[in-house]
Amino acid sequence: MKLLVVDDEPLELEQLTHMIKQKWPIWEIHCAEETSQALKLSREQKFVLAFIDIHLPGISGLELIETLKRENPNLSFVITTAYQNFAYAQKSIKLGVVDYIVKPIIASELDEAIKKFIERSGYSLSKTIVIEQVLEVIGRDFSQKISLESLAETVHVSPTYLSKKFSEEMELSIPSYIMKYRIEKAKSLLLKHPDYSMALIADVVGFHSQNYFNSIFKKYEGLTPSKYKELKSGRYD
Amino acid sequence: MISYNFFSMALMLGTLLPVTGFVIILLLSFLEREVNILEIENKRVSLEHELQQSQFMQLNQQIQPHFLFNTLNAITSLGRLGRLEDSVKAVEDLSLFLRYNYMEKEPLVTFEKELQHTENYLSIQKTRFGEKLQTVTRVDSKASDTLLPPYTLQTLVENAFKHGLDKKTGGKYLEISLHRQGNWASLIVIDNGPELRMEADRPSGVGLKNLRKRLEITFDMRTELTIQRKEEMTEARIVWPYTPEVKL
Repeated sequence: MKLLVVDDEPLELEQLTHMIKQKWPIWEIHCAEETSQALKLSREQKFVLAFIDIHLPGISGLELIETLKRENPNLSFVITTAYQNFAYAQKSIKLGVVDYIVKPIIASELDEAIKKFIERSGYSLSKTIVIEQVLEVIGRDFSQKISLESLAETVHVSPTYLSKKFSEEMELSIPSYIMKYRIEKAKSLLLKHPDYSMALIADVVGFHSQNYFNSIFKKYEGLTPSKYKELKSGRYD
Repeated sequence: MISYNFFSMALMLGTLLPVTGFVIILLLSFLEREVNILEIENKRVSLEHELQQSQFMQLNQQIQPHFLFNTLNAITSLGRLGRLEDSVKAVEDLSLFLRYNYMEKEPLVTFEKELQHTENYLSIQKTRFGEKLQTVTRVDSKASDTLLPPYTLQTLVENAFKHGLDKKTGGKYLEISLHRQGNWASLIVIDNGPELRMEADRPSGVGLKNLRKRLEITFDMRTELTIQRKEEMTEARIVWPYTPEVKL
C-alpha cells in the first residue's frame, strides 16, 4: 500500500505521516512539498491514496488532483485544507474525492477519512474478520511476547492456517508485521518521552534486549534509535 | 388739545409696537432653535467621523481565519511529533500576537512595538514553512523612533504573504526596511512572490484601501502607499511624516 502526501508545509507532511503510521504501520508514505515533485513521484510509484492540500503554490490542489487522476484513474484522494470553503467542497465532490479534512487535523476525522477510503476502495489492511482480530491483539499486546500459537488460539484457527492467511492478505509475515509495529511505536516514544532511557523504550515496545532493539531499529530505519532521536527532536528552525 | 393726527399716530404705534415685539420674540426663539439644530448636526457629524475611524481601526484587527487555523495545525503537529519546546514557543508567539490585537490602541504606536508584533507573526510563519522562509529586517537608526498608525507594517506583511509568498514555490523571501528622508519616514516591504496577475489584484484590496484611508485620517499632510514590481520582487512602500515620540 503506497500513499502520497502533498503539502507545502514540511511540518504538516511530518504530522500526517506520523499520524497514519501510528495506525497503519506498514503503509508506505511518500511526501511532496511541490506539485512538480508530486507528479514525478506519482509516475514512479503506484499510489492508491493521496492526501492533497488544496492551497498549494503554483497550480491549485484541485488542478493537481485532476492531473493525477488523468494519469492514474484508480487513485483516491483526501483533501486537506485550512479553508472551510463551500465552493471548494462542491468542486471536490465533483472530482470524487473520498473526504475533505479541515485543519487543524483532528485525529478522529483523519481516521474517519481513512475508513471511508477503505470501505470505498476495498483496499484494506485486513480483508477478513480473523486478520482484523489479529491486528487488534497485536496493537494491544505488543509490549509482551506474542507467539503465533497464542494468536492462533485467540482467533480459533490453526497456526499454519493463520500464518498463510496473514501473509496472503497483508503481503508480509506475522513476525515482520509485529516488528514494524514495534519500531513505529518506538519512534513515537523516542520523540514523546525524550527522558525515557533506551532500555525502557526497548522494553515497553516488547524487545527483550536493548542490543536486539538497536540492531532491528537500524535495519528498518537505517540509523540507530539514539541517532534518530537526536535528528528528530532538534529544534525545527 | 392733542391733534387728531397725533392721536391716530399714537394709536397706531400703540397697537403696532406690541405686535412687532411679539413677532420679533417669535423670530428670535425660532432662530435659536435653528442654531441648536446646526450644533447638533455638527456633533453628529464629528461622532460619525469618530465611529468611522474606530471602525477602520477594528477592520484591521481582524485576524485572518486561515492564518489562525494553520497556526493551530502547526502547534498540534509539534505536539504530536513530541517537540515540546517548539510547541510551547509557538503558543507563546501566537499569544503575544493575539494580545497585541486585543489591546486598546492609540492612533499612533512606536515602530518598535509594531515591528515586535510582526516578528511574532513571522516567527509563526517560520514554524510552518521552516527553512523555506527567509526574512531580513533593516531599520535606519535615524527613523527608528518614529510613530505610525498601528497595523501599518502588519498589513503590508500579511499582504505580501496573501498575494505573493503563499503562491511562491520553493524559497520565500521577505524584506522589511525603515528609512528616513528629512521630514518623511518610509517603510518598505519586499517579497519574491510571483508576478502580479492583475494590476487591480493588489492595491484595491480591502486591507490596503483601509490602510490608505487610515494614513489620510491620521496625518493631515501628504502620505503615500504604492505597490510595484521591481527586479522579480514586489515592493510595497508607504511614506508618512516622520513623527518622533515625544519623551516627557
